[in-house]
Amino acid sequence: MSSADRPRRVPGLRLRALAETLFDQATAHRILLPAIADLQHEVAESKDAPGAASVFARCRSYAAVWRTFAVCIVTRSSPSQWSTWRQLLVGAVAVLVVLTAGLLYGPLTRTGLPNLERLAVFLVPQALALSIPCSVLGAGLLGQWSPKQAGNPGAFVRGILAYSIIAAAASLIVMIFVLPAANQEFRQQVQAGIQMKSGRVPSNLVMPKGYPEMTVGELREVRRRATLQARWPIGEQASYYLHLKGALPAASLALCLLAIALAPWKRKQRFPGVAGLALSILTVFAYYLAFAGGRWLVFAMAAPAWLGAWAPPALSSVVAMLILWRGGLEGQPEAAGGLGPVPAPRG
Amino acid sequence: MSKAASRPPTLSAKEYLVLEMLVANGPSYGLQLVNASSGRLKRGTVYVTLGRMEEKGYVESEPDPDAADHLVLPRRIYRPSGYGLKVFEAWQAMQRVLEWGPAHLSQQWEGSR
Repeated sequence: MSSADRPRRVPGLRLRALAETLFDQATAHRILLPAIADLQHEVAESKDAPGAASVFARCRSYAAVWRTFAVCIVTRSSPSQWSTWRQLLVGAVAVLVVLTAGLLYGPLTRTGLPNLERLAVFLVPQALALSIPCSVLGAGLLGQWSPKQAGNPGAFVRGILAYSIIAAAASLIVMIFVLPAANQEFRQQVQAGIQMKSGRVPSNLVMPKGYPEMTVGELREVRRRATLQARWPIGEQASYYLHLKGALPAASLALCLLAIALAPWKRKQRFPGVAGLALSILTVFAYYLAFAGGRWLVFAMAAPAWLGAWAPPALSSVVAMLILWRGGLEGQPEAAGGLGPVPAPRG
Repeated sequence: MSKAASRPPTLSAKEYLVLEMLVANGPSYGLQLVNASSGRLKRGTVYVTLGRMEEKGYVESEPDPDAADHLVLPRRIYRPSGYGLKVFEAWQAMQRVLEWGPAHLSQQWEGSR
């Protein structure tokens, strides 16, 4: 099939669907669809421009549309929607703090060294890497159970989506920049503490790095060398940790989808708070099993590194999509948690 | 009369600018206004401003009647409404009255008493 015969791809179709799903009719039609129309026309007009200019025009148009989305979330929300978001945020922060503290407790009590506060600082990023994605799910399933808020599922979906995007960005920064440095510093501190405890003068020797302590550049270098020397297991393991730097932040988005898909079911229960807690624990446990299984398969050379790292978020997203598709959030009565009919335009 | 209707109309600096450009350049779509504003209007917020103005009744809009491509959304063309033109003229008149500054106006007020 030649390029002329191929059906034309129109940009912005998904953005249009997203705008019509997330926002009321007035906001979608008065603000977002005109911005998307500009995007479509600008992309079409820049098609014949040289490569870089066309890419630049496309990026500028998409950035403008996303900025319009962000402004709409802030400026076009009603007080009840803000109340839902406040509740979501409080739920997310509570889950984040509890999980981080829980994850710190075990390693710190096992360490048994002085300067625990200092060690805790370096251990926090390790705990954050796991608790950020869990907080998205927890906020989705726990932070929004009051019957007062159940009639406002559109605001819930918008709020949890916004939080998951912020959480994914924060998680990416933690995984790429903060975690390797903090992990290595934690190891150095523990080594110095052990030496002091046994009456020796702490040495300045830099400990060799493990995979979790390596930066993106170092992991790439290990993989390159392992490939040159035909040491496949080492190359695959380094590659797994490299993929994990993207896959763990993606978990925030995947778990957000799951929270959206499971929320209507949870709200139908007699005790939605308890149902939300049980669902959160079960889902996190299942996610952890998938995560550990993926790692085991890669280290046993039974699966490629990309598959081991990306399988948990991909599986969660597929499960969420299936639930959404079967249950159909749209069209359900609002009390059951569906998005319900598009509200009448404001103003 | 509703509470909102009983209040005098308000016009922000951006809304004034949009009305000014629509009066000067004729019906336009958002991106045209951004390009004509030499950086005073931003692409990410122009439609938020236009949407708010439409809700206030200052502008009217319709899909571009000349749109030929049915696969893409037609651009929305904005023009000032009759009410928007009156508010714009009232704002211009107010600016003319107040442009002498507070000191001069106070003297004039004292002189007339």
